[in-house]
Amino acid sequence: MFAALACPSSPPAGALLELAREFAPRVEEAGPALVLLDLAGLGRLWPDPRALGQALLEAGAVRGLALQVALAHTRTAAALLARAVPGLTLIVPGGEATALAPLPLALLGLPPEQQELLRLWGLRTLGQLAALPARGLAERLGPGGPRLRRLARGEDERPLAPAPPPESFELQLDLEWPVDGLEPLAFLLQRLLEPLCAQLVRRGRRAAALELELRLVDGRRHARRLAPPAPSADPRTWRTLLILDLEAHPPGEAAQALRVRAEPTAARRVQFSLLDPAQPAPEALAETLGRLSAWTTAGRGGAPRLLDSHRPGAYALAAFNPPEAARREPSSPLLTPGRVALRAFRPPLPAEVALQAGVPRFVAAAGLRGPVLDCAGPWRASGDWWDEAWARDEWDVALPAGLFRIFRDRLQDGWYVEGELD
Amino acid sequence: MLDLAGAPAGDLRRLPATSWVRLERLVTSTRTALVLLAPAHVATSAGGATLALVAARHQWSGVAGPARLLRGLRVSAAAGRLQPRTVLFDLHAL
Repeated sequence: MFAALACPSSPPAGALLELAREFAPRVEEAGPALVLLDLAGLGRLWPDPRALGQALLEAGAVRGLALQVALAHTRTAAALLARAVPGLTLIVPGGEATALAPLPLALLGLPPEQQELLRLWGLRTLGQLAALPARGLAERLGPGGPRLRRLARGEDERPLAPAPPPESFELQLDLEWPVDGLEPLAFLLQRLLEPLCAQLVRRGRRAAALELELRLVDGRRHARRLAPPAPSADPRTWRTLLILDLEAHPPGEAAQALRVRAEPTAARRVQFSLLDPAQPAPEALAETLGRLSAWTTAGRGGAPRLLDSHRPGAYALAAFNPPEAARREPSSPLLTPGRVALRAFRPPLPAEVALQAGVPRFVAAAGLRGPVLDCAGPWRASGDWWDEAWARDEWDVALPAGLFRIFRDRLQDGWYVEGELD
Repeated sequence: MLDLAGAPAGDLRRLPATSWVRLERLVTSTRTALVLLAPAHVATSAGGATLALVAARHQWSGVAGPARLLRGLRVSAAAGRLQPRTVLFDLHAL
């Protein structure tokens, strides 16, 4: 037996399918407002089909859906009746053609020219079409003629094609005794991650991100989310990353339950080059980055990214995501002119500078002291007055120890050595 | 590139000499080139080539004044210890 749910008013996407899955495991989405349920095997749960139909109507009403429900022994009859008849319709076995007979032909969704042809023949209802001989229809409409007749009689052409159930990559582990400390937690995580990663691999997927939720003994929930640069389905890598993250962000209390949820993504397909240098495996890279991030304070690990600013040394930290090795012609270093590099002191060294007629004549800083032999400057620069203002005068000065760049912070009125030019 | 140019020479001399041998062995069997920058000749016991770079002259544009710019450095590079060969080259700042 089949049930059909139709909603004349446009329901939210997936709402009908979600409702149908609460009643039957095999459901088919036959259109944006029509869902079919295979009720085979539900006889013990729902001995009375009318009770099942009423339950479907009530479930729709709870969700604010004005449903039309039909139960029949063929999916075609159930679908046509659900679209045409309000409320609940229950058809006894063998009564499909009789129940469909008074319904209009427009329910079949025929092309306009074919519908006009049937209208010219004087056909208005499904019953009139079903009463025509199959041979005559085939002679006039071709192979589609008998098919229309079968549909009008409520006969199925194919079995129900169930929609695949939504994939869920989530596992939970409830503990009899609370677990405190990272070492026992690592073993428990391994018990969750191995089947989870095996499930991902079976589906040809990888985890782009992993969410870990610990339910603690004091009722709090400690949730962490990891999204490494490359997707992975390696349980060892994920366990290492989670433990490193928990070391940096400890839960504070013992855990009573663990829940791990993976965000699946398609498996990676990479064609490595024979000529480029070998690249690190993404899993190994993610693990190394996780370790580096755990060593730095507040996870300040990543790749520097220049900011769109004239402020010297302005940068931000971005996720380290190396591009694929680009093929480029090797350049000859002999043909490339060398450039002077600034070896920056981070932070800049506070300095005392003696001026003569506004020009530096003597510089003294930590590990650096001497008269100015030659200089160029000043170059005045400022910016970000609307946020964190900065303003400075830069000089390049030649000291006995070498060539240095110094600057005067005009807002704080202090001198600094920014770096050495070499 | 291992850049130790900003480190005090005294601190570098206190490093055990085996450190440089270990570094050399790490890269000998690979296609990696290790470039060590230091203010003095510190890796004395390791193999490889040593290049002594000295800033010979600063090059400035124009006369002293606000419009003056640093044009670059003339650097002298010396290779070899017994019979050093010296080459002069320019590093540009502009």
